[in-house]
Amino acid sequence: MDYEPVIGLEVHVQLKTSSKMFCGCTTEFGGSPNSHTCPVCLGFPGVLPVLNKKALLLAVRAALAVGCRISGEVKFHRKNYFYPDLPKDYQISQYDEPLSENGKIEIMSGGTAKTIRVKRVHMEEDAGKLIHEEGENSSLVDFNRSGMPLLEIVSEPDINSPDEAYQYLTNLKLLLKYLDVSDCDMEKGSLRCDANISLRPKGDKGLGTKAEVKNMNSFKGVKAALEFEIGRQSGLLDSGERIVQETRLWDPEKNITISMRSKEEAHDYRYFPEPDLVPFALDGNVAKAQKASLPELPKARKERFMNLLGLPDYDAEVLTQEKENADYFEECLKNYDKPKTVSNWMMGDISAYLNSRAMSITAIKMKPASLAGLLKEIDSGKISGKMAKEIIPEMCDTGKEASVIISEKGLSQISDVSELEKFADEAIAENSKTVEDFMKGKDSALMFLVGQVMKKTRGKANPAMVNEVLRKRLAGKK
Amino acid sequence: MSIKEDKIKYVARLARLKLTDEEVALFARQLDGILGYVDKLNERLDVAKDAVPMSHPHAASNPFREDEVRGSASSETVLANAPQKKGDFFKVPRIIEE
Ligand SMILES: [Zn+2]
Repeated sequence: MDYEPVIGLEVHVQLKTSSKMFCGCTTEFGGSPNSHTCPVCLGFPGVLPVLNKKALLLAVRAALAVGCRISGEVKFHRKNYFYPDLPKDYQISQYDEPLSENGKIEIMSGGTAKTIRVKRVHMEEDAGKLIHEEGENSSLVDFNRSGMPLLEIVSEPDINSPDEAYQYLTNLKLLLKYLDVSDCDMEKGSLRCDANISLRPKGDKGLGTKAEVKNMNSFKGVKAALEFEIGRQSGLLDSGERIVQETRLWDPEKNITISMRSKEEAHDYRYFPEPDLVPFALDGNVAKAQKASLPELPKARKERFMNLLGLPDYDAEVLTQEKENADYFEECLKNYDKPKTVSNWMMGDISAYLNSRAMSITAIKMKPASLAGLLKEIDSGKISGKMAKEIIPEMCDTGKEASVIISEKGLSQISDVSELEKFADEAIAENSKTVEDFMKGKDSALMFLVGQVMKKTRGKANPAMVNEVLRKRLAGKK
Repeated sequence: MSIKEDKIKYVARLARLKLTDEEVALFARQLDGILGYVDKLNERLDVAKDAVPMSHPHAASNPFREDEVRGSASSETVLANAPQKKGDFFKVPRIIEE
């Protein structure tokens, strides 16, 4: 039978604060085990959590950017469960009155735009990290991550393919990076994703029994895990078996999901209002101020690049995929007003330089203004595009201005007409056969002569000028 | 009785409490009395309709913290009361998912 997958995603991102959500410990990644902990994030008796203002503001910012309605009052709840990485035996989270609800994220699905609704965006604290000792009957706990401020973004089950899930994640990450609310680094655990997936016969409106899949460490992993689940669940349904509601772990080595059997009651979290935190009043002004300070979001920026700067769709898409690239591009335009030319160089030689070194644009030494300087040298005819290609890696390595490298290497093009005329005359004298062909109307013969002049100048001549000078000299001979 | 013994056993298991049969019976009786007393409210007003659930006795006053790193405790302090440790880690019995 043909099935349609119904997928919902739960994404956790770490908010970009300097200190933890409820205490003054650093949020820096790494550090020796338990070196970033204190009585608050270790859950010692008698301590009180105090909310980090910036964490709340970043959360509001992210919620607004996905179009959520912000609640006027922020309440925290205790989510109760026992696990060694949870020092208080409860996690401070949000329950029936989350920070915000009813947002949306736009994706492209099979060439058409599709809206994935965001059910809620709420705040919670992270747990510690548990390390299982090989062959030992014990585990080790590092609480450095305990109490880190997290944002949980829950989608409605509007996603109908692994590819749509991938798109949703890519767009969400791009948005959060533009907002500067999170690093979204999956390797450092600052972005994590769990997926709920069920199948239903194509055309059906009801929902099947779902499985929750965890432990994916990349967006590609999410896609692969969902593809595996579709295969597994449709196999079961086809053979008339029942899908069990359960949590499954993705094994990236074997490319399969494995059942993580857990008791039903593990999901009874007995939420109740966190008595240690009074509710926070968020008057409309807070949301208004955050909304006013939102940067231009990727979609709007792409449209502006197309409509106001005249970039093709493809260029605008590529340049806005990383905020830093778009920033670099616009910075360069301040000194050089030809958007498509800048875009060509960025997507061509600069991108090649970055890719070969696995670097991001922020790591190169060539400033946007220096790139503008280089492009002006090409326009003035001082250097050729080919020479510019040779100069770019050095500019990126050293941060030297193009003009400095040009004079150091003696690279400038010969654009002195009288000098070019000398070479042109030589070429004409040495290639009488070709000249004859040209005179008889064979226009392509000229290209051979241009090549000869370029050879004589060791590539330092401006080909367009050589062409012009040759034509003039030959015309004089007629 | 609205609170049955199986409810007491269920809650005790969630809270990792080990209760004797006598305790289960005792707590069922006591909790039933307490909840019965609270239920009296419903005789006079419709709680669900007439009152907003109170999550805190204090009015909201937004006691925030600025986002400043104030340092952490030393590892000796942190691990001083740990029943078991290994290096700078807390050591706990291994949890096996059932
Ligand atoms: Zn702390």
